[in-house]
Amino acid sequence: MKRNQLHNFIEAFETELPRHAQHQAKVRLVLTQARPAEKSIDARIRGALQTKGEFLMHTNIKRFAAPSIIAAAFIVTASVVTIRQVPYAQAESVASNGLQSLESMSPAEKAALALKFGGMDPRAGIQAAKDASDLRTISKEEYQKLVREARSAVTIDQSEVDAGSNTSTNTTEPSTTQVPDSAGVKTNPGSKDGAELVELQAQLDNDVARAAKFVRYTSGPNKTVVVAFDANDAPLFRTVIVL
Amino acid sequence: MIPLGEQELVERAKTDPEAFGCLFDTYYPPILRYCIKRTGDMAMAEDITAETFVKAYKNIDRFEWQGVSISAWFYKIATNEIRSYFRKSRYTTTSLDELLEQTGFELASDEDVHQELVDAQDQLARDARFIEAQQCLATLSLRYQEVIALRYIERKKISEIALILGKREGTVKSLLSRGIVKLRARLQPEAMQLFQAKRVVDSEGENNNPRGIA
Repeated sequence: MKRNQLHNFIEAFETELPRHAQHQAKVRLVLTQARPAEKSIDARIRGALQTKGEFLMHTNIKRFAAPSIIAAAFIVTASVVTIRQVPYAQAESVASNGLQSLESMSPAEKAALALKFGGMDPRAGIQAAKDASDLRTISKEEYQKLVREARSAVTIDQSEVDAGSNTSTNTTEPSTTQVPDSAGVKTNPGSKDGAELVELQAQLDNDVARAAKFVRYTSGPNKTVVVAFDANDAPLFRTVIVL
Repeated sequence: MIPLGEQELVERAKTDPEAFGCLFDTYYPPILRYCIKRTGDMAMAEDITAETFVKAYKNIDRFEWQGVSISAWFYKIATNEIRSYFRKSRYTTTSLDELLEQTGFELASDEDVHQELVDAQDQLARDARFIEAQQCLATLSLRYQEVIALRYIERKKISEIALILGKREGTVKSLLSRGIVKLRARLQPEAMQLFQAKRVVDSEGENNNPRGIA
């Protein structure tokens, strides 16, 4: 009798458990995108800039995912701008090297990259950020803090969107113009720039930017380019962060 | 039994993320299943599994091949994480978040991941036999849970369990023996009824006081 109970107990664990293919793919992607073990800083930077498969892009973002992504990018970008003045030349160098790396690709690699980016040219975003002198540098710690803040802010925004209770959003006309450049934008809700943020949210709520694309180019563990595009491939927010 | 070429793959994984990805592909499913069976919670099992592999990835350069499959090391990390989960009132994972910050947002696919989790939880919730057995296992103290799960559910050898838990083989055998006695006592129908009644009371208490404020 006791033996049967034990057998039943063990057999109960032999049930077929669900597969978690999506979760597995997500964790794998994060792991394989991360840098391998110790290398010199110089090797990391050069190696990363010569690596072609390091772009992450998401097209056809589903409803609600797009606002989160773009709001996160926006808040990070806006906060980056307001944190402190940092050497522009250093950031420009990252962007230039990134562009150079992209330019040096073979036609086949360019085609593969374009396919990965849903036909969009990632160089355009980086070039636009460079042309607009919209480049900043921050420390890794500051960046991580910003991302955490952005995530928590996004969570709140998302719940408001879901509940349809964002009164600011409801009273704001959807903007048909491009979202302003990140330079000078602050996250203080009482300021003019805060109003711009609300306007952006309204725009997102109305699914104007539903098909927005978000590109985050990690050129090594210490350097990151963040660019977001709208549905027409026009830069929405852009910044270069040198970590 | 060690998969062919695993040693070379482990060495390559120290500098090549794609090689680590191959190890991950092989051992993600068994580690996730182990975590589900130990915790009975899909979301937590996913988190613990992710944490296990991120920690392994971060420390792979310190891993020394000792003629044993690397799976024992993954189980060891997972077991430690599960121990933290049971011991802490709030288990939090941080490694994956850090890596996400390094490598970029993955929000576009989060909806699918979430839906997959919801479906998996639904599927598991329908398996009453599994739930009952898992809850019974969870009533044992951690040291007995670990040896019983590894020996009878994961079908590991005593020597492997000793390696995973960092205990002597004799200690493992002794824990198994005592654990089985305790498990048998728990498996008595009247014991199970008592336990299930207690769980109902506990869950009602939680529902009445969802924030856990005394």
